[in-house]
Amino acid sequence: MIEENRAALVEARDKLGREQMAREDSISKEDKSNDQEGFAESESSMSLLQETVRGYEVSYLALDCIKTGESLVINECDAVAELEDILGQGTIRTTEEVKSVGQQLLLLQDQLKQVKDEKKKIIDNYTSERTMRKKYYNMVEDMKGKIRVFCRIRPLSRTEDAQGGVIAVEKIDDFSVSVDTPRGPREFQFDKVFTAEASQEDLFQDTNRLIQSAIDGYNVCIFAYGQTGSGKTFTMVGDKDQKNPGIMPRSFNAIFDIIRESSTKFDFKVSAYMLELYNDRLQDLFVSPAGEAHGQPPSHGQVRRVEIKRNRKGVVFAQGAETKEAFSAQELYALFLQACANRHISATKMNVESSRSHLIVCIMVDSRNLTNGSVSTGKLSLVDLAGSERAAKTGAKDHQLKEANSINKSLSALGDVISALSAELPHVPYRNSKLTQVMQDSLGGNAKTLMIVNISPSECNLEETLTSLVYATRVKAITNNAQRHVESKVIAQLKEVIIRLRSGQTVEDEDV
Amino acid sequence: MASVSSDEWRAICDKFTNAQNLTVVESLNDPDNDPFRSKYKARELLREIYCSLKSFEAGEGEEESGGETGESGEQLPVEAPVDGQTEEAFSQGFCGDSPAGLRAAKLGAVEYYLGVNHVDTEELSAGQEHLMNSMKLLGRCRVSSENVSLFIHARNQLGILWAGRDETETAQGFLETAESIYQRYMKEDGSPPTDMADYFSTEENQLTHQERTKRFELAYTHTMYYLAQVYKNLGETERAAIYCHSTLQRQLKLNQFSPMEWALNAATLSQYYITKGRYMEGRHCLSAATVISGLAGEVPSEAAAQESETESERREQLRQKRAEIARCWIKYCLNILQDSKKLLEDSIGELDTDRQEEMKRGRRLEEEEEEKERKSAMLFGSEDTFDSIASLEEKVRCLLPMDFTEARAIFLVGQHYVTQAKEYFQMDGYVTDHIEILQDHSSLFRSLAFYEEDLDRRCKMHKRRVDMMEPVCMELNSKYYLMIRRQMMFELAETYNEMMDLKLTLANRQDETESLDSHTIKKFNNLCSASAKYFQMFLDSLCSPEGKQPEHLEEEVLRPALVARFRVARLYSRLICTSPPGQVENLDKSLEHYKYVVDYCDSHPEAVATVETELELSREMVGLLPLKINRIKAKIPANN
Repeated sequence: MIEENRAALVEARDKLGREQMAREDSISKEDKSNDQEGFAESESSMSLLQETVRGYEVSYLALDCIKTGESLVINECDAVAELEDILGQGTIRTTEEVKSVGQQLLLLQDQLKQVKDEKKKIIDNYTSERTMRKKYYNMVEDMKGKIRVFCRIRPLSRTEDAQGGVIAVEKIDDFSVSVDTPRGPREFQFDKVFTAEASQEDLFQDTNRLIQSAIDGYNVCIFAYGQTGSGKTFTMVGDKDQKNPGIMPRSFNAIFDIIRESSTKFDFKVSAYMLELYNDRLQDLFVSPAGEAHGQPPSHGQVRRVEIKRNRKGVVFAQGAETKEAFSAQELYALFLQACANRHISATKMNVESSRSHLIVCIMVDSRNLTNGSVSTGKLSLVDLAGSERAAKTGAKDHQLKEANSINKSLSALGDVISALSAELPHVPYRNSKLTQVMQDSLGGNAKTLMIVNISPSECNLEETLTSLVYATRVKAITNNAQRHVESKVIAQLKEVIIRLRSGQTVEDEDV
Repeated sequence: MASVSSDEWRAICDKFTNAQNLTVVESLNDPDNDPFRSKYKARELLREIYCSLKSFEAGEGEEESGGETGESGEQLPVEAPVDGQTEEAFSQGFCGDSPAGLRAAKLGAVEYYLGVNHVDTEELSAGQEHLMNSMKLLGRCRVSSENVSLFIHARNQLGILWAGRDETETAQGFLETAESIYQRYMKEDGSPPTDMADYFSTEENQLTHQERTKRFELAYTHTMYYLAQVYKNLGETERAAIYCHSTLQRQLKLNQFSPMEWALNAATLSQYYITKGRYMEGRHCLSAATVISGLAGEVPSEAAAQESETESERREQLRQKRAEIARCWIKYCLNILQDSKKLLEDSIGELDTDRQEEMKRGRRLEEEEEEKERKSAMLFGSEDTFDSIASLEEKVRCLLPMDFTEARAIFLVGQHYVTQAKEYFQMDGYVTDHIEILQDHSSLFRSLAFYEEDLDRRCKMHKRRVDMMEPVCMELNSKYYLMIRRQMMFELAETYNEMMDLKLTLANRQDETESLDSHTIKKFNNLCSASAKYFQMFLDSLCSPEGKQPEHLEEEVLRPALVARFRVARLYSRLICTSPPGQVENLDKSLEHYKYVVDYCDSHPEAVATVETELELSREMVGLLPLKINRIKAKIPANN
């Protein structure tokens, strides 16, 4: 009996230990709201278990005493107090009692297992349901051609790690991210979430079919957004030695791969222009700034202003910028390198200065169907947007007042306040920058747009970042639903017709 | 205190000038890796000034010791302070021009500058402490011309600071106190107040009265500007609008604005008033916008633009922004026409003449009201712009038009701005903008047609709409401009339908007894088919690339799609055809479309609510049409 009890005790202790560990485990994953109930349940079953283990310990002690013949009066351990506590007058338990305790334990174990299973099932259901819902939503959105937003969380940098690296951003599932904001945790939904583990290849996998759309004749735009140092350039361009090329070089290859596959059916022409938006001025990156400065004097009509425009065929063009043709992915990449060399920022100061410079790479694909001769023009815009340095430093929020600029008398925020007075102002003249102009082309109408929001894991003002995004993505829906008055006229006429038809009148000569 | 002419005092003044120069000018050139270099230098200078002032005090301030104790030892509360002390500020404390009052003001000013400096360098708590110190020092003084400017400035800064912490109500408190201090001061005193810079300038460098007033008024303009933002953030849009308006008004009156920015803001504000049906204010904003945008200068010629980039940029900017203002005017004209139409139309969208009479009578009173209101309205204008704004206003009325003549006058103004806006927003390069303007032009015609009693002329107006939309709609790339094209298809279908009805009414009027002549029938059928064609085109645009009908209609196209079906059904049954087999063919098509509406709603119950009437009628027709078809069919073998 002693042996039996000992075994039971060991088992019970083990059980308790495991349960405790399991509990700690689930505490660390406390974010799911529907766990609460499961918690309460496991909590109560745990206290039961503890109780049981204590019962065993007491019996063990008592049995031990009996075996060694020692008197219980020995005040060597606090167990006595405990014993008295549990067994009331200090009566030693009989075998029957121990047996019933054992049975109870088995029963409890069973119950616990059941509860755990149920909990697991609920969580599984919840997760899969949530994933499915989001997936369907994305499919629908995709069919509508709306803007899709990916979120990419970069790994902690070495400096951040050294500074203690508080992680404020956590991926909950493939579609949501939780962010610790100063006002508590907030959840954000995306079309897809990529963490540090996701490779450039993984990201491009989900981007690839947009390249096909561009070749099919759509206006496609992929851009990276985020604060300086959040990994935009890595995402779009890749690392310096191109061991991990980003979306741009990969797209160059993908375009020509697709072209090669369809070369029997289509005739293609690929051309590109590359621009930099620096200090609210568009610059043609195929023209070297040095050449401009040292070559012909600027007054000699050499300075070309670049403007983004759109013609009735839907072709977006950069008026005043040079367009160059490319016959292979290598050529395209060479053009890209040339453009990069002409950027205002030197590579060494990349992260310091990149915040003011946006890179815009546009690739036009003209295709001619060899069987029926039909022609289409698609366009792929790849944009590396500059981050908002200022906002990153001060943690500027929505409610921040815009200060007056006493020097140039400008009260720049007044226009924003006025435009916000009503959601349906008939016309809002835009005071916007060139950037908005560039973006408007990709955000309005029927463009297929993918935004990649890059964030660092310690990011906490994602909210601010997202506000500006949401603003940028407001897409116009059809406004002129059937006009009521004409409607009512048609309806009135038809009602008359119905009355006549019903009354069996011959309406032969009347229109019905 | 050191005498104003003493060397020590001169040294302080020099330091202050240096600090200001560092803050405002030098700091712009600070490198990225040391962005606050100049501001830190300025801070040191300000601290030195502060110490010097304190040491003067220690030497000479004995006679005022009662008011000076505990100055430095005092611990300031860190929690959000409540500022509601206008009343005390005017009635309690030292006189502003007493030695103690002046000393407090000077120290307060240094604290203020230190506060701003800390805020600028992102040390918000320290900034707050300095600003609160400044408030505290001033708290001992009565508001007077010597210190009122500082009273306002410090509160403006605290407003910004607290708003940045998302404590909008606290910000509101500071700013509203600033507002009431200003108002009370202007009522009770109003003399040009000392500017803070004057505290630290030698006698010969004191500001003129004019300059003092200008700076003071500017500070208050900023209070208005911040309050506008605060009210917007609090969701009090009405109030925010009032403060936007006052800000614009003050900018103009004090001649502190950049013309194009001001003009665009005023034009945007007009759009707010328009949505509220306040056309008088809307018109005033627009007239002012047009006049003030003129102050930005002549548009450089094309030749000049080719010569230099600056000129080219300027040309672009001026042309674009003036075109934007023109577009705001178009909306003014369009909205006023549409609003009055809404009031005057009967249940089937025709002019209700009884209602028209009634409204006309009621309006005489309104006109008198307008005169009265005009005086109290918040008018824009400086001395030299006032007249031109008023004369521009006279060119278009702000009362809802009640008949064709009045409507036409507004229409013509709208059309004038359409031409102006299109000059810049050309089809090539600005497709979406250009088309939006075209759509507005078309809507102007539609609204005007409502007042036109002559049906033939009314029909011609609709023809104008077709002529401007049709070629553009056909030419646009369907992949890139899907949404716009859908809008235009719908509008074209509606317009053709309208023309068809008008033609029929006209024909029936001319000859009530006889049946339609073949020429009229042909015309009628052409219009009918054209309308159906565009509805069908709209429906086809919903199909997949393979031409498959969508099984499920997206929410934003649900009603348009079902209505289009319903309308096509109706149009097919209206086609005039003399041969029975032709009639049957048309009616079969009609039935098919009615059936679609019914079937779709049966399988998608959520659609029912969006097309209730159309569905009800479609059901009726699905029941009735087969009977008619059978009747006609029954005749066919007999004819054979």
